[in-house]
Amino acid sequence: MINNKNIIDLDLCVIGAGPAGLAAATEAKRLGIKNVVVFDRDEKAGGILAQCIHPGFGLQRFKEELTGPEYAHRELEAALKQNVEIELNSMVIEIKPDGIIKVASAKGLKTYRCKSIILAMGCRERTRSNVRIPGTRPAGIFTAGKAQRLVNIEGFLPGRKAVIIGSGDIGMIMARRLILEGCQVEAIIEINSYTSGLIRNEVQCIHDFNIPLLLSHQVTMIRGDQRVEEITVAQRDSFGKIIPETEKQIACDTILLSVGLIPENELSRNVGITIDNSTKGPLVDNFLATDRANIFACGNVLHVNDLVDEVSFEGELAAKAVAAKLTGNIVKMAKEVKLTKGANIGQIVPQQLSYPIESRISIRVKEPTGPTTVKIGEVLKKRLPFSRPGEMIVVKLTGAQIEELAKAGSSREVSVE
Amino acid sequence: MQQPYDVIIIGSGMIGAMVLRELSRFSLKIAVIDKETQAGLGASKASLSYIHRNHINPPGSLRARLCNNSQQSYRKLSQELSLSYNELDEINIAFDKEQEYLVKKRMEWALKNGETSFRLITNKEVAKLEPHLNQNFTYATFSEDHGLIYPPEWAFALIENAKDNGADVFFNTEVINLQYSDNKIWDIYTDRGKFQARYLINAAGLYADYIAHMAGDKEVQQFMTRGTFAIFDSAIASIMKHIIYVGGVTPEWSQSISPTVHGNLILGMGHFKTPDSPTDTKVTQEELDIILRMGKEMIPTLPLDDLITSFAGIKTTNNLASDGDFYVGPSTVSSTMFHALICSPGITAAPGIANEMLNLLSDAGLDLKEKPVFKNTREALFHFSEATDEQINAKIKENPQYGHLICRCEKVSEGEIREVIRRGASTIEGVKHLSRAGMGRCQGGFCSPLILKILCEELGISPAEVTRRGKGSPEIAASDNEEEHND
Amino acid sequence: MSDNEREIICIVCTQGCKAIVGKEGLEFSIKGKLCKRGLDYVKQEYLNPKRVLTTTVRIKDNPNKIIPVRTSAPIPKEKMFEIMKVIKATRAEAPLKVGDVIIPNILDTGSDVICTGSLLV
Repeated sequence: MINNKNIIDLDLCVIGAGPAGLAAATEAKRLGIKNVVVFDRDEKAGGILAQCIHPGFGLQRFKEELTGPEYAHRELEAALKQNVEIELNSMVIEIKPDGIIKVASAKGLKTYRCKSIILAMGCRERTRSNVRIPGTRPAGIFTAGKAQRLVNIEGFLPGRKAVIIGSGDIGMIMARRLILEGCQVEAIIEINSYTSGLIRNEVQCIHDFNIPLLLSHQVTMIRGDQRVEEITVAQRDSFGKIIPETEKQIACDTILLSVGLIPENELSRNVGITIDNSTKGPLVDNFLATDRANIFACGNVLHVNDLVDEVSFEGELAAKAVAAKLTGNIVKMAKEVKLTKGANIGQIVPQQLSYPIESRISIRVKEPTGPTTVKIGEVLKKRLPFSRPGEMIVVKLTGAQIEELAKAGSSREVSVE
Repeated sequence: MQQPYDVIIIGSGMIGAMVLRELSRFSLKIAVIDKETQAGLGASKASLSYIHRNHINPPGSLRARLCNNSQQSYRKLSQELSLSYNELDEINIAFDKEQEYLVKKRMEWALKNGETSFRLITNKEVAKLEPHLNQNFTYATFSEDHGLIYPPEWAFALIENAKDNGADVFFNTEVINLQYSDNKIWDIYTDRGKFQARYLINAAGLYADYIAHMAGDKEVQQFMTRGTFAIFDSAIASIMKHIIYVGGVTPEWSQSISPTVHGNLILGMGHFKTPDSPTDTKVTQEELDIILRMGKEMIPTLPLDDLITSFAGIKTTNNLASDGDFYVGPSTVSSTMFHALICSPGITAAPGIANEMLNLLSDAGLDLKEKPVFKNTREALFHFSEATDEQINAKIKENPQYGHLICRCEKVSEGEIREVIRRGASTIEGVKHLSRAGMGRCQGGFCSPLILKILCEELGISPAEVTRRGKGSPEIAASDNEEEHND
Repeated sequence: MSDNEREIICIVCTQGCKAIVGKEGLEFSIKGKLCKRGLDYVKQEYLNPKRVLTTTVRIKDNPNKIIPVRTSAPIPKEKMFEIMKVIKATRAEAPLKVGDVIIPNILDTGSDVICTGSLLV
């Protein structure tokens, strides 16, 4: 039972003090929203950036190439300058209807009533079980992010002889990190015929250190009773079937998995927010509003981003949406537009256009292509030299273009050809 | 020379733990020895953990006798020891004639064994109870009150309570040799020294035949089969409210799906592969494919993406009993050594087996004198995830660490993690099995670095000494604080 | 490609533009479409590949604490492991803020090793 005396009222609660949450809270304060609190379950702000000690952040937002901690530092400074309140070691354990949230910390279980909520919880990593690799369950199997935390925050070496499963950015970056720390990296194993991360990481992490990259290969078995001892790897044919004659063993004591991120939407699901099965994040409109009143989503909890600069931008947009909602300053279009996926389109965010405001549309293709044209309905056509699932395509629509789309119909197709 | 123990039990799984706890009622010098780091981490940790009704045991078998009314024993123990124990109803379905025969046989056995709640159930009724279940079955039975536990926490609690009542407990201690000497004392040689006992109980599970051979009992043989399990995320566990079995449990096959005590969903299949050794708990591609296909056949809407872990468990049968029955009785070497050679349903039968052991010991001359004072309860482990808001706030006032959540997926606090370590957990998995930290969606991705640090603090060990589950399974390679890198 | 030509992938931004770079005497020949930063990069890469090195350094009197660091400018690729060795042997002293110099002009490369994180105590 909620004791009404003990509920704390907030104008805005932001769940997650990573780059999305910090940018959202800073912008909210800048726009004049008064009672803003950011909750984070970790002991530090900055989210995943604190452990991403490599450069590659901020090229768009700050026109400089920063490391993760440096980027986080800038966002945190900006937030503190705006007097954003940040509660660390505080986990939001439940979002109830009507903006009620429950937060657990060493101070106790506290209840807040929030006029608006911005979801910025980020992602968790796909595990070995999620990708169904058979074998034993020894010590020495890490997701790449967990290994990154162990090395870069705790100062621990996960192992001495590693294989990396998955050629996503984090896998490639951790390959380099492990080698610099004196660990051997025997191979990076990728099921597709192309890497799933950025080309620049391929150069700086794989080529620079001559790490064997096994494309179109799959791990078919993990062995080791107590600690990892070896993996079996085999080549796949163009249909994705294992070619048994190519099976070989690679001795190792450590396995890092870089096999994908999953937006962490347990809180969202539990309060009834509709989740898009392709992004694994909430369905949102172009003001980042979910289908539950006054709850907005931004950053990696909404969809897995490539660049943190985009994440910050989304955070600011969510704050703008909250401000607009609180002041009643913006009106929905009479006819809203649902964006549908053409062939080879894997993900679109936002999935719905409800406001005639300038909007960024993020698109991911399913399969890589050569030179291609991105189209949104009849209003946008953009030529690209290539497209890859590992690189999000971001296009801008003006308010006028969105109104035009709405006039043309209640659902318009996004396509890539 | 130290006085020999009256009884030493080899193995702290569900059987060994149950026997130790029962023996601790009496004025005896008793001990348990296990090579693992804590109780219940052998065969006991990898099973469906149902407390079955008496439909899977042939009437007249030892199994049937020892499983009789298990639910009552478990209910009582769950109260005394503050342990999770749920009861669910079970639906047994058949999709073909062969399965129908097995389901019918189980009901027949149930009725002959004195069960009263078994009845036929129509497809329509089942559809109401379990709308997500594949409705194309041709035959179904319904029965009430099958129990559900999580054995590692039970074995831990039983051992803890026994220790509280004077039993000695030796973990990380491996038996290397056994000798029955002329003065009617067992010499038990371990990697940590010699023990002596008047009576010896072999509850070594998968290694029961190794132990028997060490004692000179060369006839004993156990045959292993491996089963596969798959656990699905709690977000979809609300789909199911019953234990569902397809067909019957035969030596070659079993197939089931049910909620777990932790609010997840467990798929169980097996046991048809022969493992290479007691530690061959791998899941092969074939077994993985079959179990997931089987899951989809039972629940067509089962989201395979919500699979959070899959693992294997090994069961045994033995050559001393017929028809895959238990053997709970003396060894050929001496009437002072007793084997517990068990098969499914071992966990169900544990209270009955413990009772049987007491009788056997008494018949063999052990004087069972009840202690004047027996502490039959123990302090519950606090679980944030199960407590009310009031309970949580009271606990946090006592100790703020209970408000600091470490495992996000299962909502386990720092206080709970420290508590289980202080009460005996010493490895990452040991902490997991007792506190549930690391059992959720992210499988320890977020919490295990933090748990590692807490283990170092609580146990005064270095990070490189932390193991996943004991000797040979270091969690990391090194903290480079401690070592120089050579070129 | 002739003997003195190499394919170089630019890593300045995420585009990953490719170029074939060769050099005759003092003259560069660059085949491929590159922006200004890209041109500078491939020339440098051809002559003397450099990278920004990022790692962590231990804190003096606080054995469990590490802080992230970077080289303030790209350093020669072949000196990476040597630089790692020096950083590993170093103990930084708190308090530290982002940008503080831990090791000036590491191994005479003209680049410092600077903090990218901060430590108040």
